[in-house]
Amino acid sequence: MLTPPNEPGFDNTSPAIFVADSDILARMVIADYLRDCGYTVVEGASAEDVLTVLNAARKIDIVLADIRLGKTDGFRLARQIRKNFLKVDVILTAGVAKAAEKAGDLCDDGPLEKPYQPQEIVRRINLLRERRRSARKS
Amino acid sequence: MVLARSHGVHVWNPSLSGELLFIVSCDHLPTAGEANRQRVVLVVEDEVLIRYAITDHLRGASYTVVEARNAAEATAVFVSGAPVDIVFTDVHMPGEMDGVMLAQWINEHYPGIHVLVTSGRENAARLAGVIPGDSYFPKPYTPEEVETRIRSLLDS
Repeated sequence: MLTPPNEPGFDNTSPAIFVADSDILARMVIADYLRDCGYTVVEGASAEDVLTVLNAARKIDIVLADIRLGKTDGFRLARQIRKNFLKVDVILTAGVAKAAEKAGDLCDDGPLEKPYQPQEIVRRINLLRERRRSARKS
Repeated sequence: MVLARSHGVHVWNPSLSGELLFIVSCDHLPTAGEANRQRVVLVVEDEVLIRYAITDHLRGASYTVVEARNAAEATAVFVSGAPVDIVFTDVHMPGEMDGVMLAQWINEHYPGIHVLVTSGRENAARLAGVIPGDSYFPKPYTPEEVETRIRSLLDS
């Protein structure tokens, strides 16, 4: 029933973004925007959702996660991703200034502070992809 | 005085002299934007990999898909005013409402929205009489079967 990463029908070219937010309305808006921008988007509400998908070897390039995700927060999720999934970048979003500071060292370029413009996410995504491309060349 | 009403086209006769004057209002006909809108499927499933398999397939079939992990999220979507044409929901989900209760809530507050409730065969007897027979969708299923059923309901 699931389409493994290397079978026909699985898109290996379109960047895949995992949008993790426990607020469904926020998640819907961002996910729809990113799909309209041409990204493949997977949605989830918890860190467990993210790790389930990553552990299933689904192609995910970037995880966009709110710091408030329930039992396992975005900080712990980011640490686990940086430790176990080296090819996956993380963008954290935070609604509180202090939390935003704490998120600063867990994701490049600091966290995205809410409220943010959707275009800012795309800018961050492009920045991360460019860094990956440059790292591969060097 | 309304002389005729059919499919949202109202025909009035406001003339006092007996002449028939037709004023036609098309208040329920879809606007150009609505007519071109993709059909919206709300998929309610707590297991992320199952949900992704279904939603990915439906998006590939040109549906707009909204994802919810439980009944609370699904009701929030409806309350937000986001358009939904059909709901595909599992029965067993974490939270106070299961899929059957969600279907009943939708039927009460948003009548006319198709709801498909999916469950294993062992629950078929329990669901009989609780939800309409054509709302039951048995497991196991493939995403293609889900799409076929959704398409047949929306096209009918």
